[in-house]
Amino acid sequence: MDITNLKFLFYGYSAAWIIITAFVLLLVSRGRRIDRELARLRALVENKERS
Amino acid sequence: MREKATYLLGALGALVMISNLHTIFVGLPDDALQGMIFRIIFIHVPADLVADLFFTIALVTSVLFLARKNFIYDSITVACIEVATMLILVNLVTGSIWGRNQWGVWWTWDLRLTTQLMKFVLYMSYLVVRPAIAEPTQKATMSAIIAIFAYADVPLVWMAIRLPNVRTNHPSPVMGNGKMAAVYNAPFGMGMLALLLIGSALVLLRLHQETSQREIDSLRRELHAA
Repeated sequence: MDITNLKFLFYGYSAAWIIITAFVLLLVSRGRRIDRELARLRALVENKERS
Repeated sequence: MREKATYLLGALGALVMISNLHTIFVGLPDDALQGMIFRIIFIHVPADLVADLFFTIALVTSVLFLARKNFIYDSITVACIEVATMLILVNLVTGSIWGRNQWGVWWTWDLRLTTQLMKFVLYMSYLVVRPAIAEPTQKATMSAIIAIFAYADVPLVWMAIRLPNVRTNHPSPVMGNGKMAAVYNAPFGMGMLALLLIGSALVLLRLHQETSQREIDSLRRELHAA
């Protein structure tokens, strides 16, 4: 078994999964921020309509 | 309902990917020339093909936005481009790691590599320019024009290893012409399917965020107007 080959194969798949995971985490965190902001604005509009 | 479908697609993609990784690492023999590093092809090539599919959808929706001025097309465009650009980054990084092992260098200004890097830079410019424009119609129009312009690079990358008289280090195409051993076809197809499912789930998630962002902008305008 060629260890250099194995090392680079490990680097390749690790890099791919790090990029995909980082992107997913970024999306999830942005989604949470958007949901919070949307809830806040909806509450503000509702309050304004009541008053 | 849409949220459930998105998570279902993502979970299905992850399952296909995990099962395929088992086949790739345990079930396949090493390549006679490259040894075990050839297995990088099962993520390197599908990442680019799935990205190109999303870029093509983005091209169509950009043209549709310019023709019909419906903001849903702009939302689909940005969702597709964001996910596809991430996949191009996966393609560039895995290709560079393969190149370091097989060519002895991390990067070379070969036609295929250069046009692929250009693709990444062009679509990154789309993602950088877009938030800088505040007015929604102007933002969507300018974004559609950049997306159409950037797509010109997609066929260039495809042609870079097919044109006659072009010297390139990049391996020639191996799919659909019998150059790839039949035993590799199924894991390659499964790799494509897995990334397509995961990519589609991410596009749907991003699309949902873009729709919510539009609602936020509209509520802000409503509050300011009152």
